[in-house]
Amino acid sequence: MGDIVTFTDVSKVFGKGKETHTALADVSFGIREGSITGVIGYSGAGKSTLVRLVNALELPSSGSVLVDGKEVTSLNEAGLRGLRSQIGMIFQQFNLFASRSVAKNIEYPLKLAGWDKARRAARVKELLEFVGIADKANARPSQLSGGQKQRVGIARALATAPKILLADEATSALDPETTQDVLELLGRVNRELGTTILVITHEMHVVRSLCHDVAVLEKGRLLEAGPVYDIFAFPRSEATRRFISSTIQDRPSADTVARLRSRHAGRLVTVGIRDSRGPGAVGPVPDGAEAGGVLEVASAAASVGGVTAEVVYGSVTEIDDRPFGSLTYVLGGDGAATAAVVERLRASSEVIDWSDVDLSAAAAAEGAGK
Amino acid sequence: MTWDLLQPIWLDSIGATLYMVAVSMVLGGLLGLLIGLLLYATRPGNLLQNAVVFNVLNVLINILRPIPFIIFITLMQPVAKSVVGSTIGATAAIVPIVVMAGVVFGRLIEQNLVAVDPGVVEAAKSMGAGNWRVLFGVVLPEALGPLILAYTFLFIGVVDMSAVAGYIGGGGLGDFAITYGYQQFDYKITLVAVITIIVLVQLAQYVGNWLARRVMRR
Repeated sequence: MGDIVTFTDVSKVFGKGKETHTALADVSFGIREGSITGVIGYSGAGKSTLVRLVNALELPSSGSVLVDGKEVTSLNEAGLRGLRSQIGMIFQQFNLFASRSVAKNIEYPLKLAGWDKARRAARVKELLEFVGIADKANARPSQLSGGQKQRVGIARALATAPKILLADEATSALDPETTQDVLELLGRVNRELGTTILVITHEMHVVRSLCHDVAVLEKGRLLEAGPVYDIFAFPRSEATRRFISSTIQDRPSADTVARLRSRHAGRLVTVGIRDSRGPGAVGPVPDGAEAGGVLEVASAAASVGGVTAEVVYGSVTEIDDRPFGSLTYVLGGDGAATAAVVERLRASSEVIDWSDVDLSAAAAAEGAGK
Repeated sequence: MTWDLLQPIWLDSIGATLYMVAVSMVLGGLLGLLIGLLLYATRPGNLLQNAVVFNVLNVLINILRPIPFIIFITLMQPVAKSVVGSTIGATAAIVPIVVMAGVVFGRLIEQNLVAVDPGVVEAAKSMGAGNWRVLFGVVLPEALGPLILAYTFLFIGVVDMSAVAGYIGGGGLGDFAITYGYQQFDYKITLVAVITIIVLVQLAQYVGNWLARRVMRR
């Protein structure tokens, strides 16, 4: 399927005169119809602005935003309202109407869309059941837990059966268990209703467990966009790699390396463990195939000869059914031989040779990144 | 004077006060609603953003509010004369009360509307609600509880203003206290008038609290 949203050279500048702030600069990428796409980045990266361009709560200063075939910047006020009624939105603070009951909250967008009373009632009932809070129809939002409130938010956003759902830090105010429930619900919305979901988050596990694609923003610029696994495992830019490793611990910290060094003689190297098929592969690793990185260490050590390789630290998990992580080896043998092993490894894998790294500088850099 | 003679006067005074207060609450309330909605809607960055309307109203309110009410009454005499044809009596007293009540209530409404969570406004907009539907369908209902409390607050202010108006011949409980209490050196009558006002105010506050609680359902 094609792209349901296309950003082309989009910039957004707030303010006038001297007091301007560039929230987005020359952002171009597409959101696949039917996908769940994450938008990640530090706070102030422009994530919120980017999603608000989709339903025209913000208009771009320049560039084009194409939503479901329509150029957002060319719509008039009535056109914008029509567009918005086809795009649902949920929020970090839920933004429910405190003056209305749960059922009336969900009914509100249907009223706006001009549905008659009988159809509204039937639709509200259906939505309450879909999100699993049928018994709360007459409750007030203030009587609900955070997770229940977000379920109401989701039901309300889905009321008019929109093609696109925007989720602005939708789980950031929830505890981990409730977060998981809400993520599962969003996954179900995507699978069962075919809704394209755009998720803003600063929580990496949200991207890992929910998203198909991800766009990484930094200071208003798009660093990279693509399938989650490819961005995480094979980042093209150093900035993306830095962002990824600051939010998921895919390598030992400088402290850990210092500790490992004091315990083990030999050359410490960290090897990235990746899908051996490289970026762009689709679906789980086929049976019998090894994760990239493990075999390479063994074969490099064997071909050089006189080098032992022992795993001393690391973890490997899966993203999108594909291996992801890093293992830290201590290579035993004389210096020239272990250096040759590292040299060979570099051809196929992401390698950090800790003997090259100034640990106190690395520790300072880690501190600055936080 | 004996209470036998004073009692009918007292009852009339209550009637005059209630008349002034009731009419002022309705007209002042409507005027305030208009001013408050305009202030909110024309505020920079809001639904009907309009710097001219906002600034004119804002400055006007800031000029009128600090004027002591007893002076404001005399200031408004030409207006009262042209509107109701007289400068004395309960009906004439209503004119300055309505204006001042409208100004005060307008400000109170604005403050309560501004306090409505902008996230809720954004949510309504994201569903395709237009400016007017956001204002009347979301912002006003969300602020209704505090607005009822503000209206109750206004009631007390209006009772106070009506008592001051009594001093310049508006009649009512203020007039009663001054004429038969203060000027006759009858402290008990002053007390009676004060207690009557307190009871009125307490009743209004009770009803207001009850209504606000019902609306907010907390």
